[in-house]
Amino acid sequence: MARKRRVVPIPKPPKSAFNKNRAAGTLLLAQVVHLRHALARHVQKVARHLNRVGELLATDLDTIKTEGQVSEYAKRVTAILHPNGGKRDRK
Amino acid sequence: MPPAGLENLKHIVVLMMENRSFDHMLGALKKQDSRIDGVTDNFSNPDTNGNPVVEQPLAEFQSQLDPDPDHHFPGVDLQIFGGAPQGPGRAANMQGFIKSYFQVQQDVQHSQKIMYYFPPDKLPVLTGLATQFAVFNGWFSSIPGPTFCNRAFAHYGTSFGQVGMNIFEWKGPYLSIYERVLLAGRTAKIYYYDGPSSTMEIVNILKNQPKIFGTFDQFLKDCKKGELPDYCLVEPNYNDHDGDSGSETATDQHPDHNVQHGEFFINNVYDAIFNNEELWKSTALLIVYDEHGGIYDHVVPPNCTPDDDAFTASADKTETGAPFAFDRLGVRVPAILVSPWIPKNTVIPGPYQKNGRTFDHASIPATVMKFILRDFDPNTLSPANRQKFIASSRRERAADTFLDLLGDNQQPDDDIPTFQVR
Repeated sequence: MARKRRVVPIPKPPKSAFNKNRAAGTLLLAQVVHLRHALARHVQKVARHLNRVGELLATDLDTIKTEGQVSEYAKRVTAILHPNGGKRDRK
Repeated sequence: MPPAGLENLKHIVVLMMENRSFDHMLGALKKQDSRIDGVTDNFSNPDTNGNPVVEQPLAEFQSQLDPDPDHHFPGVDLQIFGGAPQGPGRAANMQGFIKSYFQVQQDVQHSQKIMYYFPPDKLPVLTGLATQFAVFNGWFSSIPGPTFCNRAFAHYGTSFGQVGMNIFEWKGPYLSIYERVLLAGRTAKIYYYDGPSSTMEIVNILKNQPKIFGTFDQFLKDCKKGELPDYCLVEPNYNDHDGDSGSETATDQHPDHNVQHGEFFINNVYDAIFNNEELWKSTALLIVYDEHGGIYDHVVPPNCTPDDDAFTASADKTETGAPFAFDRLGVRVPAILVSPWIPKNTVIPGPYQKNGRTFDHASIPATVMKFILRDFDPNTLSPANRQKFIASSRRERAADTFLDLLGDNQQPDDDIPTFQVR
C-alpha cells in the first residue's frame, strides 16, 4: 500500500523543450571525442584478442601429445572464453 | 553507539547534475531562511560598461543561457578574480561573471542574464528537498574548471592534474571509488541514463565495462527489488534524442537544456528510493551539481589543501599564465542530502559562517570509504590490494565527509513531500 505523503504540485514541462537539432555544446562534443578514444582502445584490445584466437585456431591439434600441452592449450582457450575462469579468488 | 540513521545506512546514492550555481538554483531560499547563504540585494557584478548589475529572480527554464556561458579554466579565473592580473596578493572578488559572459556573444544586455536566479516556486523539487532535508551552504566544485575534471574528483578524489576537457586516462596511483568498493567485496555502480546519452566516466568504461555500469532503467528496477549497490552514482540524460519509447529530453539541466525536465529526473530518483520502504530507511541520496557552468555565485571559493605534488597543472595547461596546484576550490554549487534520518530543514553552514564546513566532490569518495570501512578490515586484503584500496589523493584525504548528518530520529512519511504534476 502506498504510504501517505505531503503533496506538492509541480508544473508540467513544455513539449517544446525537446530539440534534437539543437547544436551540441562543448561538453557533448568532448564526450564524442572521449567515446571515440574509448572505442579505439577497445578495438586495439579486441585485435590483440583476435590475434590470440587466430593462433589457437591455427594450432595443429595433432601436435598436442602430453598433459602439459593439453593444459597449456586449455588454459589459453579458457582465458578467452571465460576471462575469470583461470583466476583464483584472492582477497 | 552510532546514531540510528548511520546504523541503518546500507546505500549511498549520488545524483550528479550539470552546470548550475548555488545562487542561481537555491540562493532565493535566503529570503525565507536567513541561515541559507544565498541572494541578497547587495551582490552585483559590473557589466562591460561599468554599470553594476544585481542578482534578479528572472531565471527561465530554457532559452536564456544560450550560448553556453564559459566555464573553462581561464573563463572561471576571470569570473572569480574579475580580470585582475596573475600575481601575488591577487584577491578573489567574484566580479567577472558578466565580463566573462560578454566575451561569449559581445552583447551587454544578454551578458547580464548570468546574474539571474530562480525564485523557489519555480523549482519546487529542488527547493522542496533542500528545505525538507539538508542543504549545504559550502559545497564547491572541486576545480575552477569544466565538467570532466570536476567529475573526476567524484570518481577518483583527484583529476590527476587535469584542468580541462582533454582525453586523459588515469594511470594510477589511485583507483576509482567503484574499484575500491569492489576490492572490499562490496558493490558499486554507475547508472548512466541510456545508450544514446552514455556516460561521462570514460575511463571506467574503458577499464570496467560492463562490471560497474548499468542504465537508469536498471536503477529503477534495482530500487524496486531492493538490489541497489552499496554505492552508486546516477547520471542524468545529457542530450535530446529519440528513445525506444519516444522522445527523451535532456535532464541534466546543462544550459540550454530545460531545467524542469531536470526537476522531474531528480524527482524520479528520489521517488524510486522512497517507494521502497526498506530502501528509504537505509539510503542517503546526495543531489549535487558538477560545476557552476559560468553562472554567478557570490561566495568566494576558499583555498584548500593542495593536491599531490605530482598533480600541479602547468601554466600552458591552465591557459592563465600561471600554474595551478589545485589549492583553491571551484565555484559553489547546489548540494542537498536526502534521508529520512536528517532533521527537517537542516542547513549546513559554509566556510565563512560560524561552525562552517567546506565540501567538494572529493568529499564523495572520502565519505564512501568511511562508509565501507565501518565494517570492512583492509587487513583482510592481500598487501598489494590493500595498498590499492587505501591509496587516495591528498585532496581526498583532506576532504570533509557527510555521514554525521544522519541522526537518531526518522522524519514521518506523512510529512515527506511527493511532487505531482498539477
